[in-house]
Amino acid sequence: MEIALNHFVPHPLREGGSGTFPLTFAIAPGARRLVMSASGKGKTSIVHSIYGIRRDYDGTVTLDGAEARSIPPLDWAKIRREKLAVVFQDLRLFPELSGVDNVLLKNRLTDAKTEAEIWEAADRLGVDRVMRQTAGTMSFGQRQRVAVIRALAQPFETILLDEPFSHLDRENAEIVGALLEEEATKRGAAIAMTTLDDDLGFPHDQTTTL
Amino acid sequence: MLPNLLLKSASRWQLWGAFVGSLVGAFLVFFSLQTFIDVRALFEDERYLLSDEIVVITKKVSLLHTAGVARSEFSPDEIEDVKEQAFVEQVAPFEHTNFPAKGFTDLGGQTRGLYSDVFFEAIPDRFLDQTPEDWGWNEGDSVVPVVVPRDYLALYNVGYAPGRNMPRLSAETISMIKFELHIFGDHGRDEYLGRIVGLTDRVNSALVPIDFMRWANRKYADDPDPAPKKLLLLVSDPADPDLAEYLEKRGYETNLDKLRGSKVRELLNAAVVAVGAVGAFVATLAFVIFLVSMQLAIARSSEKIRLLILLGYDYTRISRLYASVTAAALVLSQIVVFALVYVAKLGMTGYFAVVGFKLPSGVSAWVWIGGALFALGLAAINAWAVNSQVKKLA
Repeated sequence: MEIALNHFVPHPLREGGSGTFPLTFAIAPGARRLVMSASGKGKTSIVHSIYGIRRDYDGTVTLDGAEARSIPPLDWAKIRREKLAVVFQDLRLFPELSGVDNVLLKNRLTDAKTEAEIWEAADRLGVDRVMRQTAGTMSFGQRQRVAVIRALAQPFETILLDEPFSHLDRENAEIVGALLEEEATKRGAAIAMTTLDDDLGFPHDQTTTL
Repeated sequence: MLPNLLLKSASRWQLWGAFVGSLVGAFLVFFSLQTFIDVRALFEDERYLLSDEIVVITKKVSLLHTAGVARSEFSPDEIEDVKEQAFVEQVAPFEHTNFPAKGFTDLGGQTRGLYSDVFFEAIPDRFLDQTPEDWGWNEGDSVVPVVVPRDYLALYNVGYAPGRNMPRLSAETISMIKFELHIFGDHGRDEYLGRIVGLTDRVNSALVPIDFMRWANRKYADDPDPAPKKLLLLVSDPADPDLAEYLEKRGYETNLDKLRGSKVRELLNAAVVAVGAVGAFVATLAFVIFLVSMQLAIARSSEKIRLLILLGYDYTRISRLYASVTAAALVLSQIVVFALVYVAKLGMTGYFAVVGFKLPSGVSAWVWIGGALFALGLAAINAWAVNSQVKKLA
């Protein structure tokens, strides 16, 4: 999937911005792109605009040539099931559901993984023992890893990661990064990741600094 | 998992309230509709028709009659005069028995029985509301068919039978009643067998076939051809003011049954419409509660719905979940309503049978169709409302 931002300016950053807006860049199929900046510079706005949540921006955001704001709701549902995966900065898990149910809620829609594969991923990321707890009772770092497992429970051409390692130590960040890299490679998919100032060893071929 | 996640925030008591409300409202609406249809059928049924065209007239009884100065019979001149009136199409005199007679029945041997003076009238067959089976009489027949006013049956069932521990009778079972008819003539007592073969709304006395009447009067009466005391008029418009004026001028009285009948019908219709309107109001309120509680449940779950949509759920799948819960409740309540209407109809049929009316059996097709359309229509409106609300979250 070809994702392109063209003269992109989120409305809250129209005045007195960092000078990086308007922003123009693309996430090509198979790319590894890092978007690096300090807090409050618009990283999350970019992710949300690409994922179709934010509509308050100037310029255009296109997915395979279609402007994000003009894609009808049912087409968005299909894109989010089949082409575009995401790990939100605020994770957006259902706090009343267990970790495994959070993943299954997505997986039932896509039928991408077996339950064994989900448990295997949880084991690999070190959250298998908390997967039956409700997400509300997990630490942020544990929830971050559950959100990653959920994001991987679908086919995708691009995965958007919004500061996915913010609450992980370097060792765990590298384990998660390896799983992401492995899954993306398996699908021939692109990874676009935002981070504050450190790539945490995540391999990338392009960097945008805001 | 999805229903659990989303419907937890729906208020149970609200949904139950709406369910019970729509049940009560829809029951009132559809039972009224059923009653309306039944009552209309009853009035349109020829057997029960209080005919617009038949007027029975008698002379006013005054002190002069009591004193024997004025005559209560119609003279041939008077009959001729009535016939000549423009508003009168046909005239038939009521012939009446001019001899003493008594009837005896033991109602199947369960009681001491009834023994009483009886009095019959006869009119030409074409003026009967309907010609019952076994109507008619030929010389030599020992069974005399009799038609009695429907009021007699009601009087018997409501006033007489319960107090004396006697069986109640319906329009069907009354034909099983036979009674001995004792006629007293110059040469002693003759016995016949009387049988009630039908009910009439048109006249307020017991009728026998005119052939029997004429034969019996010839055989038993001193005056075999007594002057009539009642006339049956066939008129084109019973509400014609000329008719009223004529009757007034001549001092004739008429049965005002038609008028009363139409009043009864008006009142009954008004009552049925009022109950139906209350039902419609209750049902509407209940449906609004359904709508509001679904909207509220969606509003309470809006964050979850947004998140599900972000995960790739079609908003239609989510709105269908809400719509189907309401649809299921509406359909279930309608099924209960059908059952209640059916049971209530059975009760009504039983009640009406006691006073001599036979309601059409079963629940009307209009009620089935109306009920189905009602439930499906409301479900569709709700589905539309829910869908447009959920779509806003997508």
